[in-house]
Formats: sequence, C-alpha cells, structure tokens
Amino acid sequence: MKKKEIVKLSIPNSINYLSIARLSAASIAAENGYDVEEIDDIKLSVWEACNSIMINSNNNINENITIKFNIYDEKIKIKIKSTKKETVNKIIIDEMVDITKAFEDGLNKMIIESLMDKVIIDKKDGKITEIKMLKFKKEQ
Amino acid sequence: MSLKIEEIKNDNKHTLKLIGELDIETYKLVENYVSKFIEEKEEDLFVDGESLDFIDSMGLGVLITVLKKVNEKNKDIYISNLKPSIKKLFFLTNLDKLFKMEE
Repeated sequence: MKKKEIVKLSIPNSINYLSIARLSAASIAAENGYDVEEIDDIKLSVWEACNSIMINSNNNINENITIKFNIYDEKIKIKIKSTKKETVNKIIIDEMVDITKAFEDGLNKMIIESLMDKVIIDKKDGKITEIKMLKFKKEQ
Repeated sequence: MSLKIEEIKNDNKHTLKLIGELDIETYKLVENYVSKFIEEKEEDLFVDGESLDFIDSMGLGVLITVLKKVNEKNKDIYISNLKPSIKKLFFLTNLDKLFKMEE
C-alpha cells in the first residue's frame, strides 16, 4: 500500500474547464494500469464530482476547484474541493435553476457511488464542499 | 467537445442520431430539438446512440425531461446502439426501465 505519486490539478470554477479534469483523470488512470472500463468510471466520476462542487458553489469565480490524486499501487484516492482565490471577482450565476435539477434528484451522486468503490461527500450549510472517492484497481 | 444531432427519416420513423457528447455543455441542444420535434410530430422517438461518446448526469437528466413530454402524448422514446460504457449508466440508474432500450 505504498504511496507512489501525487498529482494536483487546479481549474477555474467554470464548466469550460471540466474537460481538463476529465481528461487528466483518464490519463492518470491509464498511466497507472487501470483498464478501459475503470478509466471510464474514474473520468466520469471526476467530471460529476467537479460539476457538483461547481454547482454547489453557484459557479463562484472567486473559487478554484482543486483535484488531488493520491496514487497507490492498487488504488487511487481522489479528493475534489473548492478553494478560494485571493483576488475578488464578481459572482456569475447562470441557468442554475435548470442545471441544479439533476443534482437535486441525486442522479450525479448515484452515478459516482455506483462507479467508485468508496465515496465521502462533505457538506457545509447544506452545500457540497468536498468529495473524496476511491477506486481499487482490478486484480490482474 | 460538442454534440451534433442528425435526423434520419425512414418509413415514417424518425431517428435522432446523437453524435459527440451529451453533457452539461450540450444538453440544451437536445432539450430544444426534441421539444420542437414533439410539438410538430405525434409519434415515437427513436434515438441512435452509436456515435454518442459521452453522457453525464445532465445528459441523462435531459433525456428524462423529454421522455416526460413524449409520454404525455402517449408515445415512447426508443434508444439503440449505445456504447457499453453508456449503456452501463442507464442500468446503474435504472433508466433502462423508463426508456425502451434496443440493441
């Protein structure tokens, strides 16, 4: 269970950058020997988790989304949370009424919990602030 | 990353072919397209997922939204040719029971 490597990624709190998180997750999983199905599971879970945190922070552009990958031989731990930037910018809220619908229904939570082996969702004042998830590698 | 919708008409059967990614960035396109389709035609809707590369919870959510509208007209949505990774999501979320899933 020796820790091999840590990868940290910080993206702006905007759906325009979700693809970067997804592709990075896929690349890290592939590099560490996960099979195609597992890679699909991980990249979708990272996408959903980032998206969920973005929506719960009302796409506040004063915050960045930090994704930390802790890579072990047999598993990968992923921690996703929003972090405040130092500069103060205006807050953008767009189409949140429609967008939050799927999340209120819990579809994204259901997807993440189905695809990953362990999921912990931290909330503050009813808003999701951090999602931690873990995926074991299939035995070869 | 984008989504393209192709409408194919065959023997009075309309099929929408989804090409690309159905997600938080593109779901409005499907919502608008299908809403217009339903207004104009009272018939079952066939969705070809052969070229659908990615779907997220928003993509699934918009399919549920349009299914409700189609069902109001006593019609159904038939989904076919989904890639295994996407079909898996329909099963995990039990959406395979709401839509008419075809091979």
